[in-house]
Amino acid sequence: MIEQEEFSIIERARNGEPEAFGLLYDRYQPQIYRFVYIKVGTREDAEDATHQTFLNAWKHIGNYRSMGFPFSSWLYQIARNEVIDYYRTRKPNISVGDEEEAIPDVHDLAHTTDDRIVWEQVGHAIRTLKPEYQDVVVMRFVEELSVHETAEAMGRSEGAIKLLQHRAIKALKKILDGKR
Amino acid sequence: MEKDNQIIFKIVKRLSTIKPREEYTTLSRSRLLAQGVAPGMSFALFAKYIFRTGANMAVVAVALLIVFGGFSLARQFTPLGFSSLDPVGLEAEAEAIDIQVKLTDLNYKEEIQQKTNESTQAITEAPKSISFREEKKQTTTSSEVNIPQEPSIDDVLEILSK
Repeated sequence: MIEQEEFSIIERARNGEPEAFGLLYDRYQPQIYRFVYIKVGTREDAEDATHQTFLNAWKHIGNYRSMGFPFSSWLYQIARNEVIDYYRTRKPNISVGDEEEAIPDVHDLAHTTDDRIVWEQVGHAIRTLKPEYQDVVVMRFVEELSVHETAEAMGRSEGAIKLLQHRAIKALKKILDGKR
Repeated sequence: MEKDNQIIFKIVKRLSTIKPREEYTTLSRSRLLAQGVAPGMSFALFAKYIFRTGANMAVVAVALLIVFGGFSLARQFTPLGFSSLDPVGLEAEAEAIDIQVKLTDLNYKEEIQQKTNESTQAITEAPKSISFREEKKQTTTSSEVNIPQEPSIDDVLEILSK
């Protein structure tokens, strides 16, 4: 979506046009879902949290002001808060050691057995990281957000994001090496 | 080390294949948009509606009517309140004040004059005691005149003239 076009759609959504917000939903829902799914580990919880994220966004879209702050970053902020609330108020459907429930349905991980293995190992490893490390790994390496977008989403400076990214990869590598 | 990192990046990147169910996406989307106007936007939309449909023009017209009508009523029931809006009336008031000042001044002057007269009268009456002495003196003097020892012709003429 071209930046100017997205700006126009966001303005229409801010003016209360449901169709405009629908376009934004189509654009960002898959990545928000992925972000939440990797952090919470089950499809059911990920669907609930994703729906709540967009509900909050729709409710408070009047508060969104561009000014160099990407819309995706704003959505990620809401999603992060929703995951925090999820861990604070709800009993997780799985425990950390319960791998079977953590394995996503075949619809979620497209194609091959390899993908399922990746999910088993890497997904679990990511979920054992600190929340900030999880966020930076998913945003930077799964969704390929820029350092600026990640910094805005996490409320940190770009320098802090680069440092977090370095430490997250180091920690992830240590976990994955320990599994081998 | 760098190579190891690249491998990890590649592996993590494979998580991007995770996708939501289509059935869930359709249901979630329709529920969100079925709410119509953004829940927190109803007042803003109402305000925009008022502005766009021109109803605000009616509101402005009513407001102007109240303002000007209020001034008109105020002028009728508050004589002093809005006289400053009428230059002719203002001038008449100013002249009236001037006249009143003059009358007041005149009355004041009359009072002063009266008091002055009273004081003067008092002052005039006061010296009578002095003239009584003079009168007594004059009486004493006149008695001395009425008993001439040897009247002269002039004296006789004078007595006859009296």
